[in-house]
Amino acid sequence: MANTKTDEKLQKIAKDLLESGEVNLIIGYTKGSNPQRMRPVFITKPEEVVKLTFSSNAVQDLAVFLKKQEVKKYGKIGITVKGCDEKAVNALIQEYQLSRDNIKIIGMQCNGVIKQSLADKGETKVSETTVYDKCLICQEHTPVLYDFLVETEEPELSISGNVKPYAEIEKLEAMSAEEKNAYWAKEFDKCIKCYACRQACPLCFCSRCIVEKNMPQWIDTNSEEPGNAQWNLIRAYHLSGRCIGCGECERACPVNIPLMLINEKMARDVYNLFGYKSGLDINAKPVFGVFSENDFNDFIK
Amino acid sequence: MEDMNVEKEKQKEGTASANTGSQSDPRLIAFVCNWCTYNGADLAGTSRMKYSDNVRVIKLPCTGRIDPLFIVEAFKKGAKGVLVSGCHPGDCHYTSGNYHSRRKYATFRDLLGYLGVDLNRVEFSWISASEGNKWVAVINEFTDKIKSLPDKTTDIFTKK
Amino acid sequence: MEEKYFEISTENLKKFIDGIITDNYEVIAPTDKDGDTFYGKINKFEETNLDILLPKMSYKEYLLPKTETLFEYSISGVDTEVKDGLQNIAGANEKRVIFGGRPCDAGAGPIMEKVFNWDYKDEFFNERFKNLTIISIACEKPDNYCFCTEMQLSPESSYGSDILLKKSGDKYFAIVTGEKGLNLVKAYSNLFTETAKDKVPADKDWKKIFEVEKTKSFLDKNFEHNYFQERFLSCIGCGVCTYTCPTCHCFDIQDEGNLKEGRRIRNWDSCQFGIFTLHTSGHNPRVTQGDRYRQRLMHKFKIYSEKFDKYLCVGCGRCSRNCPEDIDIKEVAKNLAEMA
Repeated sequence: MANTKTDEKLQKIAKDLLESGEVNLIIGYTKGSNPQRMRPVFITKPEEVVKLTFSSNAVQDLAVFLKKQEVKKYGKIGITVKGCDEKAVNALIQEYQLSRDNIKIIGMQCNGVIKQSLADKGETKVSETTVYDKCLICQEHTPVLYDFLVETEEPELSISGNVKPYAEIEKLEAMSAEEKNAYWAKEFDKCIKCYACRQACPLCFCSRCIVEKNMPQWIDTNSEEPGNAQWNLIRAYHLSGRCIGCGECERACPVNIPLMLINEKMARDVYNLFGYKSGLDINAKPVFGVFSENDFNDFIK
Repeated sequence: MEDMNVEKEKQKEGTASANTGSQSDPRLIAFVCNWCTYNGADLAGTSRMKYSDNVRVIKLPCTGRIDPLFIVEAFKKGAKGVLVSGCHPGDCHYTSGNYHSRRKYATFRDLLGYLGVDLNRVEFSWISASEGNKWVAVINEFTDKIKSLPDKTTDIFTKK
Repeated sequence: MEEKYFEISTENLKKFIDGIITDNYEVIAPTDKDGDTFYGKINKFEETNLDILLPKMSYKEYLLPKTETLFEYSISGVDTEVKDGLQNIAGANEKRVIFGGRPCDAGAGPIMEKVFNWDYKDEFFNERFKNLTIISIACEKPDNYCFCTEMQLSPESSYGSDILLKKSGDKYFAIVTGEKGLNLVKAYSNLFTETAKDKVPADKDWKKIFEVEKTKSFLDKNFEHNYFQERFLSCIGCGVCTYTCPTCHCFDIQDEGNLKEGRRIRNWDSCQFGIFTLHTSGHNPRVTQGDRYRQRLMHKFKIYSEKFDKYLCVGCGRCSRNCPEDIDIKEVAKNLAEMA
């Protein structure tokens, strides 16, 4: 597995970067706890690059580590990213959390990653029924920004259109307020407030989250209604127009709340209202950092 | 002395915020900016115009300062409706606070609606310092709308 | 009570479960929902999914709810009324049966009970724990993340279960360990046939891949070892390991309310959160995620065992299966044992 052309190229890039001292750390994927799993690996020595590998099981968004203090310490960092994850790197640069000079982006061409829940059950084929919904709507199979590109050898993902990504969104939009409320009440009831959605998110980088502020206590601490709903509402709002759709929150959620239905809906709304998509251009201003005099005004009396 | 105690008791009642009104007498919260809408409301008052007394006004420097969390907080404490109001586009005392606010609220409103909150309960308006009559109209209309809503609505802010 | 042994056919087991549901028992069993299997209330036997190894979450919430009201107060005028939360849960779990869990989950109950009783007797936990009836099914095929054998249990251990069912062909052997289980069996005595201990198939010889004592002896000596910082650089501090864990029991006490009414609650908490150990001064004794994961390992494999002579881990492997960054605690414990 480790000897495919993709891996060789990836390892060579990483080795060169470390040897030349251009970066102090490479964040990449390595083999995980079972053959269908990958895990993050942190490489500081050139001889260790053989650990690096990539496949359609590389589900994690490694950009999440760029917000970690322990990782920031390394200074110049090389990171292995898929197209979706790379948008998180862009968004972090846009929001001044990261300097473009301190990051070397090793872009991995990717034709979809297999849902982890299926992979754990033995699924090995990349197809429209086995990949995440985000892969079906992906426009960035090749990352939009990279210093090095590793081309994929995987065949292109064939999309017949029979599987409708995020189909629930349209269903929800058509519902009445009461039906929507019933839907989300049921989902949020499951929430255990572990905040894994926040921790797994590359863009939730606040050093002190709103739920941890208790003077005043904005968000109720209980894991019942309405504390859960308040948390999920505010989490989604804070990511509106910022979420790049990597889906890590939903994957991390131990109780399977369909968080991407909210994130994707908000991304669509922000695009419809302001024509902005997050993470595509490091020189663009974040959508809520700017305004237009002609912004949508219909809802205001 | 006794009067003072009664007065204190009353104040306590007020801060306790449990009195959020019934459907026939709903409590509405209006978050307004200091420079336009608040003065508009002031003008309505000094002009002896009458408007619904269901509303409680909370003044902030600018609509740009009105965090969506304030709306969440108001609903959490049992408000039946929330109004956010500020200067007309182009008139912001801080040049662009209301433009930023408009972007935020266009999105936040969508999110509330998507999560099943009845959007009749949140209202936005631009009211200038000279528009006392608009303030009266907006408040009265909003109050009537809230009163006309079904009695038993549950949403994500409702306790079980 | 001495263990008693019964036989029950697969057909009768179904009748037994449907029967206790008719008798107004709330039966919590592995059931399919949201694309995975979770413990949940079932209305009939068919809703169970007994084919899977373990539900995604443990059933800890029936012993230690994610939010528990300790007391409530209300003030009107000069009258203050305080209501003890214990009143709300009196008799909780009396009519609740957990069915189809595994020996690891069952083993978690007594392990938590020690924590909730070593000094202060936690009435909330005890009220729930003493009444809950647990009917487990022995595992036939543990997966690669399981390590109950290493944790002083086994896939066929009856520790913590009121009734342990062991499948054998088209019937089950029921090992009844206590009064609660026996009462249920007696109530449905037409479905069970009593049998002798030697009729029950002997436990298989489950192999261990590491010695937990060695893990402990490594932890005894290597608090500052670099392994923790390096290995857990990939930990994002999401706390999924602790929230899905059947034995993790940390909680946080919070007050909610205003001048008129309110309550004191306790919520689940996790040692993986930075704020968990943050002092008021701003100092945090556990700065890095390496420190925090080390704490989890220490508590599981060292601190608890020094006090209670057992380990605070049942080897269910949920933390490994659910970890978004694929940290496998079995592999970690094995690594540590090898380094000892």
